[in-house]
Amino acid sequence: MCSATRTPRIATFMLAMPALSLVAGLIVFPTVGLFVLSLAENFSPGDPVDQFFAGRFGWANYVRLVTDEFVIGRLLRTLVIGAIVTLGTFIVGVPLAMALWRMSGRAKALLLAVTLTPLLVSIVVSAYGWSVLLGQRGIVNETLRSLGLISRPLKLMHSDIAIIIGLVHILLPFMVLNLLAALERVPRVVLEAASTLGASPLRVHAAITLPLAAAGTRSGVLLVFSLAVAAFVTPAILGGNGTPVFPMVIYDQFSGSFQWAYGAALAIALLAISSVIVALYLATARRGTY
Amino acid sequence: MLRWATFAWLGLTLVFIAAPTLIAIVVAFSSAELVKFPPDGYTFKWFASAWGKELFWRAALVSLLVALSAMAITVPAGVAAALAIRRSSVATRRMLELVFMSPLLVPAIVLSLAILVGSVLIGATDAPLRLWAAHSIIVLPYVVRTTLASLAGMPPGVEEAAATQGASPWQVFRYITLPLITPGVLAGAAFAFIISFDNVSVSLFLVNQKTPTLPLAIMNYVEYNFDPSVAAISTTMVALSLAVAWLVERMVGLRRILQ
Amino acid sequence: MKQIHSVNPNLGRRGILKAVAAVVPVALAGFPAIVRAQTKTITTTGYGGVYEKHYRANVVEPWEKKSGYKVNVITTGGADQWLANAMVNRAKPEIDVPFLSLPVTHSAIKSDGVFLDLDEKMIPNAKYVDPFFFDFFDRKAIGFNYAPYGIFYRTDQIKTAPTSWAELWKPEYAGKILLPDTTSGGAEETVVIAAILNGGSVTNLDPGWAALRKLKDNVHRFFKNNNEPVPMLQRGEASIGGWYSARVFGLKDTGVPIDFVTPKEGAPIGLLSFHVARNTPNRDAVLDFVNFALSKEAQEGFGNGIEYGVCNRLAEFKGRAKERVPPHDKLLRIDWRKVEIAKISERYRREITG
Repeated sequence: MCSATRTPRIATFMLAMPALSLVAGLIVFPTVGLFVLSLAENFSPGDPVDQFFAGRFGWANYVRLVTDEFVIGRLLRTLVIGAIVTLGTFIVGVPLAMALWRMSGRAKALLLAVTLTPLLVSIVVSAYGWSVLLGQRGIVNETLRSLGLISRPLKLMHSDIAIIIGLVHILLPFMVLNLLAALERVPRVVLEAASTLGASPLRVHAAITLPLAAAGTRSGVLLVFSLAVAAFVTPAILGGNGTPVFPMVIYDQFSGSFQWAYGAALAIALLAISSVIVALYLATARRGTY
Repeated sequence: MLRWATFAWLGLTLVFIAAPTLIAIVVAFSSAELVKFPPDGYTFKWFASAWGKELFWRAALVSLLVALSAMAITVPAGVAAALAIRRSSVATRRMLELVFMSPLLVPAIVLSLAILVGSVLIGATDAPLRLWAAHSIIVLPYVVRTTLASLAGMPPGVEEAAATQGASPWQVFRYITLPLITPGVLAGAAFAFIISFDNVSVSLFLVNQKTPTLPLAIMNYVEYNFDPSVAAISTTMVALSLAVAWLVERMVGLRRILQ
Repeated sequence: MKQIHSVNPNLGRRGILKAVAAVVPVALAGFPAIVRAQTKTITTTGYGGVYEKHYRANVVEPWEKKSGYKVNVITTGGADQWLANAMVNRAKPEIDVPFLSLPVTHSAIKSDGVFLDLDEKMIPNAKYVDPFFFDFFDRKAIGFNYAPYGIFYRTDQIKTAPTSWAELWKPEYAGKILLPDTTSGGAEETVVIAAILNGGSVTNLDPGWAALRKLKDNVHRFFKNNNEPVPMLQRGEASIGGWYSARVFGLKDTGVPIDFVTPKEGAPIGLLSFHVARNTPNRDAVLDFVNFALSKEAQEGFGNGIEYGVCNRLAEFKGRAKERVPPHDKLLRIDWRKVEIAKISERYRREITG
C-alpha cells in the first residue's frame, strides 16, 4: 500500500469534487429525472416543464409494464439472446484466452492487439461490416454456395442469428480480458508441479486451472451478459423486423410511439436488471490492488 | 492432431474478429457502385466522395470537438479523483471507485435518455452542450482507472522522500508525481478519445438533427444509401483509432490500459 | 522509469502535450461557432432518393437563388421523429418548417402551440391550392404533393398484373412480399385496406388485423424507409407488395422489370405537408419558402419531374406524367380523424412486425 504524506482531508475532498460533481450531475440527477418521468401518468411529449410537475404521478406505467405481454415477451427474448451471446463468447473466448496465457512478448502483444480491435473500432463499423458479410450475396453465403453446402442463399441478415453474431463479435474482447486476467493469477509453479508429478495436461487443467479461473469466468460471463442485454445499436442494424430486442422497444417509445413516460419506465426496468447483474459482477471480479 | 485443430480454431477465431473491419476497408477501395465482394476493381473515389459530403465532414468535426472537449474536462477531473482515491481510507476508496466506475454500469441507452430528460428539466437543450456533458461522463472511468494504475506503479516512498526534503504537497505533485504518472494519464486520455469518437449509443438521443456525430451520420446514411462511401468513412475512423492506439503504444505501451 | 528514456525523441511527451494543450482551447472556443448553423439558413425536412432529387431541383435550389438563404434539408429520421423534435423544442425550434407525411400529420395538427395557423395572407399561393389540401389540415398545415400508395409487382416474375389488394394474400407469393413498417409511409393504410377487404372499415379494423396476422409470415421484409426496397427489388428478392407510385416508376426507369398498379379497391392517398413552427425566428423566410414551393412553376416542375400529384390546381401535367398521375379525387381517402393513428402504429409494431 502507498504511504502518502499526510494530506488534510479537506484537500482529498476537494480533489474528488470535480469528478464527484460530474457523476452527481450527469448520472445521479438525470437518472432521478428519468425515474420521475416514469412516474408521470398523463404526460405528453413537449409539455412545458411546469405543466409536467403539475401533472399526475403514480405507478401506472410500471403496472402496465408487468402486464404488457408484448414487452415482457421481448424482455425474455432479449435475456435468451443475451444468454446465447454469452455462451458464444465463452466458447470462442476460452481457447483464445488460453493461447494468450501461454504466450509472451511480441507475439502475445500482437495477438492481444488483434483481439482488442472490436473495442477500438466503432460498433457501427463492425455492424456495417457484418451486414456486408451476411448479406444474400455476401461472403458467407457465397462461400457456402461455392462449397456446395447450400443451393439458395441463407437469410442471415436481419435476423436473430445476425444479432448474435454481431454481439459475440463486439463482446468477445470483454470475455477474453476477464478470462485472461483470471488465468494470469494462476501461479505457473503450481501447474508445473502438478505436471512433474505425472498429471496429464487435461487433468492439470481440470483440477487446477479451471477452479482457480472460475472467478474470472463468472465475472466475464456477468459482464458480457449485462452488455448483451442492454445492446441497442448492433440489434438495430442487424436485427429483423420491428423491435427484436428490449432496448429497441425502449427506443421505439421515444421516437415512434410518443409514449415517453412508459418508455422511461422501461428504461428504469432495464437499469434495474442491469444493476443486479453488474452488482454480481463487482462482487466476483477481483480488482488489482492499489 | 489436437495441435493442428487448436491452431485451426484459433485461426478461425482471428478471422472472425478481424473480418468485419477488413471487409469495410476492402469495400472502401472497391470500384463498384453496389457493395459486393469480391470487388471488381480498386479506387480511391469513395474517399473523395465521402469526405466531399458536408454531412460527413461536419459530423467528423463535431465528433472531434466533442472528444477533445470531453477530454479537457475529464482528464483533470479524473486525475484529481484518482489522487483523492489514493489518499483515502480503504472504505472510502472502495466507495469512490464504485462511484467513478458508475458510468460503465448504466446501460448506454438508459444514460442517453436520462441525460436528455435531465437537460430538458433544467432547460439546457443545446445539443453540443449535451454531447459534451455525456461524453465527459462516459470517459471518466477510463481516465480514473489508468491514472490509478499509474499511481500504483510509482516507486514507493518517492513522494515521501521529496516531502522529507521539504517540498510542499503541490511541489511533490508537480515535480514528482505528475511526471511519473503522465504516461498512464495520456494512455487513459487517448483511450478516452477513441471511446468518445466511436461512441454511438450515448449520443443517440442527444444530437441535434442538424449536426450528428460521425458514427451517427454513418448510421443515418446507411439507411438510405448503398454505395461504399460508408465503408470509406469507416476506414478513416479505423485508421484514426489505430493511429491513436499506436501513438499510445509508442509512448507508454498498451499494457497500461489493460490493468 | 524506463519509459521516459525509450520514447522516440521526435514524438516526445512534451511535444504531444504541447500540441494537445494548444488544440484544446481552440476546440473549446471554436466549438459553438462551428457547430451552430451559419446565418441565413432555414431548416426543413425532406424525403430521400428520387424524391429528394426533384425536390431540390424544383423547390430548394431555385428558392435559395431567389432569396439568398440556404435551406438545410434533413432527410434522416422520419416524420414521427421530426414531429417529436418539433414538440420537444417548441420554444426554440430546431426545424423551422417540418415537412411531414400522413398519418403523423394528424398528431401534428392536434398539438397545441407547436405550429402556426396559416392563411392566404401569409401564403398568397394558398388560394390556388385545392381547398381539400388546406382544410384537411384545419388550416394548420398546407399540402405540397400527394402520392398514390398501390401495388408494385415484378413483371418478369408475375405474368398477369394484379388488380386487387386481396392478391397479396395469394400463397404463391409467400416470402416475396414487401410491405412498409410504420417508419415508412403506408403501413397504417395497409391495415385499413386489409379491413375493407374483409368487411371492416376505418372504425372497425379487427378484420384487418386478423388478415395481416395471417399475411405477416409471408412478408420478406417490412421495410423501414423508402430506400430499403431498392436493392431488394434490383436483386429480385421480392415480387410484389405495397409502395408509392413514383418510387416504383423511379426504379422502373432505371431498367428494373417492375410496374405499378392502382388496385380496384383504390390507392390510398399519401400526403406531404408543410407545418410552420410557431416560434421559428425565420418566420418571413419560411413563409416565403412555402409560398414558393406552392407556386405554379415549382409545383409543375416537381410534379412532372417526379410524376406525383401536386396541390396547386393550376399546375399542368404533360406527357407521361399525365398518365402516371391520377387526379386526387380518384384516390382513396381515409378519414383518419375517426381513429387514433398512434394506436394503429403501435399495434402494427406489436402484432405485425414484431
